[in-house]
Amino acid sequence: MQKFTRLTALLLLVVFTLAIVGGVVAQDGPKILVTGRQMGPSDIPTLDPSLAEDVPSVQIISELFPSLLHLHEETVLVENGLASYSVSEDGLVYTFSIQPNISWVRYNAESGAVEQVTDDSGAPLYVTAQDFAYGMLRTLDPATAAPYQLVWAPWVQGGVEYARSGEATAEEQQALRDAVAISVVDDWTLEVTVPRIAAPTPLLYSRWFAIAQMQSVVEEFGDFWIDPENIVTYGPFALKEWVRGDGGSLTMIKNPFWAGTPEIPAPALDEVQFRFLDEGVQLTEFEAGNLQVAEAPAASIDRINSDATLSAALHVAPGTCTYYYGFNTLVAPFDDARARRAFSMAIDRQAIVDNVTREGQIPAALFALPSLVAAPTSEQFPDLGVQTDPEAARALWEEYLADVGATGDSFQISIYHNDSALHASVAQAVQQMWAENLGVNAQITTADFATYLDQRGNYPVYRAAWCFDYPDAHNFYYDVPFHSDLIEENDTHWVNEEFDALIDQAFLLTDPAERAAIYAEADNILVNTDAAIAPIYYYVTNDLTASNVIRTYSNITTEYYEKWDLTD
Amino acid sequence: MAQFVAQRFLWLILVLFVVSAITFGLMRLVPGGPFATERGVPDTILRALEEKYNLTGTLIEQYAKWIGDIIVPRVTDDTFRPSAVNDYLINIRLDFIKADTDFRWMNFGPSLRIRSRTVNSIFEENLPISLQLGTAALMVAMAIGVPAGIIAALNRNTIYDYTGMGVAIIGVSIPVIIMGPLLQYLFGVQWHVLPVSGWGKPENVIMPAFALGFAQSALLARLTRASLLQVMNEDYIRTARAKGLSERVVVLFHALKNSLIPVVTVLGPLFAALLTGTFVTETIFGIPGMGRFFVTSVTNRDYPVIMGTILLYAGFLVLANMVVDITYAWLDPRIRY
Repeated sequence: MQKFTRLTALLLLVVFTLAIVGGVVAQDGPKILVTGRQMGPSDIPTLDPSLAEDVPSVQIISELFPSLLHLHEETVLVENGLASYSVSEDGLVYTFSIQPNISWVRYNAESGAVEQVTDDSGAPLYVTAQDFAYGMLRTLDPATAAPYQLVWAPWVQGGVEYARSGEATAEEQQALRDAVAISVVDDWTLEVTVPRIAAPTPLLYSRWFAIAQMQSVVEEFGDFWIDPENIVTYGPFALKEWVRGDGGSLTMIKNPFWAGTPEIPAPALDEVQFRFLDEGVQLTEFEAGNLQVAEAPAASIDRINSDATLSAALHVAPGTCTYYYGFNTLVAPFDDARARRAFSMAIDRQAIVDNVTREGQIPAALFALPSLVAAPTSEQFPDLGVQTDPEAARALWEEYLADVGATGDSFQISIYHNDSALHASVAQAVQQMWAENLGVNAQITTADFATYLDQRGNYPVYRAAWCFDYPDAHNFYYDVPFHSDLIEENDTHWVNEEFDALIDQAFLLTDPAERAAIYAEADNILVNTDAAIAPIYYYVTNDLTASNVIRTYSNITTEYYEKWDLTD
Repeated sequence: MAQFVAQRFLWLILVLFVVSAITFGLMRLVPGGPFATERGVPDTILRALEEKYNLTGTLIEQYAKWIGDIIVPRVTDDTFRPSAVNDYLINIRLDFIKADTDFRWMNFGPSLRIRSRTVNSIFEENLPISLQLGTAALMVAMAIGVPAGIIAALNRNTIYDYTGMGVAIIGVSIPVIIMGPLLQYLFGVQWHVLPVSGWGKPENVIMPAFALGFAQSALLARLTRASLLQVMNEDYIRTARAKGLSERVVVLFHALKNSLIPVVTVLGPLFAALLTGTFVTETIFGIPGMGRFFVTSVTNRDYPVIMGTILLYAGFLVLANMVVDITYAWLDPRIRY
């Protein structure tokens, strides 16, 4: 017995020693903010601006690599970022004057300091127009296979031709690359020619896929250029440490060489640590005092609201996505607009946000997020969009049934969603509303995300969400893709010429109010008269914040931590 | 013995080969792919990605290329550009043969979902964490389970027996998903004595190892008790007592060793399961181990990571069972190989 205990003690000692040696020893710094906000339990997919497509990656990238123009987190308006800009008289040439002497930096783990990147002679390297041109072209380069390649390509003259040149010869590809109208005038001046005048153009220069990258580093380290020991950045924060894997963490450290611009100040915080935690664990860590910012899990919303400390720490801000149900317009009964409208009008959106999602989501009568530039809102256009009306829905559904000579049981209607507790609850609520209001018994089918994306075009009704890429209403009507230009990727298979014409018309106008009025008409076709989709609600982000944090509350999900501070 | 081990190693290779072939076929039958997103991926990009990540050609060609990258060593003087598709587990400089020559072996492939990571980097960075946690959990399981089983067996039908087995029932019945948050709330939020989640400090190991080990300890306790009770009725125990040995010696040196055979039998698979990581425990305690890759690789259709994790688990399982078989020979003198 004694022998056994001694052996156990010895082995435990070995395990603990291994843990200490193999583990990461946290370092204390003066002002360190620890947050789990918008991270989730999984590792951050990438820090490569050309490859990022998700909220956590974009959050970190926007701190490491500020863009030419900057999106204000509260007003959602474009302001100067790393550059100011002017537009030529014909409206086609954008000239960016880049702020000179912004240093490229890298964190040195040995010295524990952020250091300037220098050339062979020891002179510091600055962010130049060449670096921006390289980053922009790298997103377009077919070899990069950037997810945002075709979002970005139409906004630069020659962009689409180069982006689609994957199967061309090397010479042809080089010629197409040279033809892309991104030109370096001098170190601090970049000129981009756009194919057509369009109101959202400046917004694109605030996006992560059009920022500066250092060519020599990307080429030297290949896929691994974003590892902490390789990456070079220039923003208010630099990358200090990245513990890879689900449950890991990423730490940014203040960049002392960032002097600050009026829009992007020098950070007050010394470090920001992002931890990758499940939201339930975030709440526990927040209550234990180890996280200064955490997400509020829907499952705990009652407890948070009834607790004085937690409810005071809670803040709900608008999100960046619209939750909707798409109808497959090729299969009966949804090949008829009356059936689609009836099913959409039978959904009580207020009841869903009050009783099912319960986090302060906003019922959606129109598809486009209200916070976007030129988006129509229900306040402005109360009569447009889809209105919940069970009686009218029933009448319309019965009219359709009488017309086609069918009964409610004639159709196999199934709601398809990707696996998640939230989507399941919403689907069950909708199923019940359709049963009560229309007398239809719908089935619910679920699958994991990859299967769902592959299969959802085959189901009569599918759950989906769209989050903006650039905060202009055009993104919600064109890229989603309900415009017929992108019909292959449209799982509703819906086409409407009038809708296309309105979107094309509004795109070329500049006055946001004028555009919003046209988009309101288009949205009304999409969700009401033709009802290809049933918008359900607008997302929110909800944060729990410790009382010693001074912070902003973003309307674009991404936060700029250089504006945050901690008090004692 | 040597022959036995050699034979088992040959079996290991065969098992891994069969497991890899079946997994490779099965995972490609599932609809959906690794590159799908809400936005939809343009065909040109999809083709470029499939080309880069060995997803073109027939399944047999792809399998041959994949397995070739793992088992065929390369000796090369190429200074190739660093890339996730060219990451080898074993890199040895062979300057003594020819300048700038490398021996490279075992490329398990890139992660398709996280393009700057490779299966090898997961083995190198995340597996050790699961190994540490799994070992600690196993220690906890054995330290609680085996003594509890012995005490219960020796004090059969007394209050010790009922208490021990009662606790064992509770241990088996409370899953980590309950035990974990309960421990976190008590020790982390209420009493502030242990960190709620995270990894890297010794105190980070305590709660997850206990949560994980406690449930398993209950299993071990019941097995130990049942087995020891049976052994205590054997003739040789009576002989030992008749020789005038003290009860302590009889139990510890004669009965216990023999009664551990069923316990050791379950320890093998348990060891493999704990060491390769556990999804729930790692999620609850925010531990960057291997466990979540077993699940997320499948939902993400991250084919090389699926293959890597499955092979790793299969390898551990076969090896652990081999160790179990060798241990039998030590525990029971009648077993010889």
